[in-house]
Amino acid sequence: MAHSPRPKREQWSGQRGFILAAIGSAIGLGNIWRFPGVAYENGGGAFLIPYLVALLTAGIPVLLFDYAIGHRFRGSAPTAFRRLAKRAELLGWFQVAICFVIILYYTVIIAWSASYLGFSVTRAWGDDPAGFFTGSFLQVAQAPGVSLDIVPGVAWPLLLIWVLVLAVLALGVQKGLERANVIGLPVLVVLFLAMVLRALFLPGALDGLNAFFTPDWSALSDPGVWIAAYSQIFFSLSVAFGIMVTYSSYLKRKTNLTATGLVVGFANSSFELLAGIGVFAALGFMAQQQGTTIAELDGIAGVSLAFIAFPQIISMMPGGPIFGVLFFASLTLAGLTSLLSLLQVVSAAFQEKFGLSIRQGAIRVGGVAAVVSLALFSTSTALPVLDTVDKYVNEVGIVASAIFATVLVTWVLRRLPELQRHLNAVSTLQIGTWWRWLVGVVVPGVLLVMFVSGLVDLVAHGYGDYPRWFTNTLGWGMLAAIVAGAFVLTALRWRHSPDEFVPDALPDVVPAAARPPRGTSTTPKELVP
Amino acid sequence: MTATALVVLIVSLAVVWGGLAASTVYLRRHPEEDDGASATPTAPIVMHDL
Repeated sequence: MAHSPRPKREQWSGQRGFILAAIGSAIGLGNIWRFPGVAYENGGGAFLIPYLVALLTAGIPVLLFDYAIGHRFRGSAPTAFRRLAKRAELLGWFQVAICFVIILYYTVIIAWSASYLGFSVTRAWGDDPAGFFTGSFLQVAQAPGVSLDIVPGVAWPLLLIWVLVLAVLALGVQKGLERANVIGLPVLVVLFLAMVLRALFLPGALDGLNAFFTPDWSALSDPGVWIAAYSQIFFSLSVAFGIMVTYSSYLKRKTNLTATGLVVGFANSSFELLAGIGVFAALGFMAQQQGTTIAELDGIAGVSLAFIAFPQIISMMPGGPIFGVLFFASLTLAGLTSLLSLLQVVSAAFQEKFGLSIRQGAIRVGGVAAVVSLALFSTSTALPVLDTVDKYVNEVGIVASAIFATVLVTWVLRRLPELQRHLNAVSTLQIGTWWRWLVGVVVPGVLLVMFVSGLVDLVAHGYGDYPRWFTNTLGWGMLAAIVAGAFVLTALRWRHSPDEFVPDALPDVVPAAARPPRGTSTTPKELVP
Repeated sequence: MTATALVVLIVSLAVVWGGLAASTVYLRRHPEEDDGASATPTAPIVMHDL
């Protein structure tokens, strides 16, 4: 079959550009609004022990697993997985579909945050931040459902964010994504540090830190705390749904992958810890102003932390508007760099399968996402819809994707030794057999426990106070749509066949032609796990 | 702050930020090598069906 020449694959300018982009992707909204609350509720200072164990035994090993697949097979998730094994393309598209759905609502939260950046200057929420957020700003409908009533105050900022990110995406990996992260990430760190420093000098800040760091050692014997730690690490690092596979596919051949993974993993946790300090110093101040304690505060995580508690804090403190601008600018930037990585997963997959140019990929795929996102999430029912979709896509979709990927590569395809050799061939920091045990046994084991406990809870109790028809349609329905989308996209024809790709030869590897036929045993030692 | 909370704060910062510093220093001392030798493909890919 004759093929028209395909354009040369894009590349990061070097390791530095990749590291900044990978850190930018890992540091997202969850680092700022999820980690502090999760740590506090799961043993405070004691939580940091399971958290670090999870980082070293699951987070960084899976990060390296993603890097190895993307770097060795040099493609977006569907291409890379197909090059591992033809039918594994489906898993790649499953990950792409998950990213597509997350993009739809992630963009909206960034648009809210950008709006609040402006609201902070005048403290537009007055003395009722909760009423302002759900009432004047989001105009949340009385009953959950899917309304088509567009809220202009949400729709315009959302449109602006879409124009901005699609423009960056259309510039390509080096001129778009890399430049955005090279500028955005240092700015984020500086703004966030300034916010944390200000928070530390507020009255009551030390009480907040006390609450956050005082260890409850008994939590260590609670399996739920360990699951929470693994979940936090897993969701925070942007692993197992295509991002790191896609990003690492743009790296040069000779790249110190393992050391890079350590830098990215520790950088993500460093920022997260900083966020814990900043958020709890600010909450300590709020508790003191309200004459209460941290333990009695409600809504100290997620949407309510950012859009209700922080506005309250901003209203209470001297110099509040500056603090507000620092906080919401940080939240917006952290979200934007993560959003770009999600978009690249989808855009790259479509570029490769359908032979689109970089610009076509960005505009066509991004354009469709923008329209769906505006239709579904600039309306009065955005909040319950995104809350529900996020819960199901994360706890069922992403966790299932990670289990499939690790089990497939380890136990079905038995290609983990090949990935280990690849990592070692290009890196100076060598990894041993322990890595295969972690990726092949520990990670799927822990994820399976997370998956089953999450699934049982969702099946038995639904989610939150939402009616069953609502969670069934938007939670399970969205997951069904993701699976259906993955099947359809896998079935479509490739514009250029990706199968002629030849991965790098590895040291001490048996040439493919000399391998025994399938079904006969190979070196047993390599297959464990 | 209580002494326990302070110790936990210092130890966690030392471990996490220390880990970042150590891995960054390591990477700076072992920068990427030139693109080259490893890029030569020698073995044809084997497609594995599931």
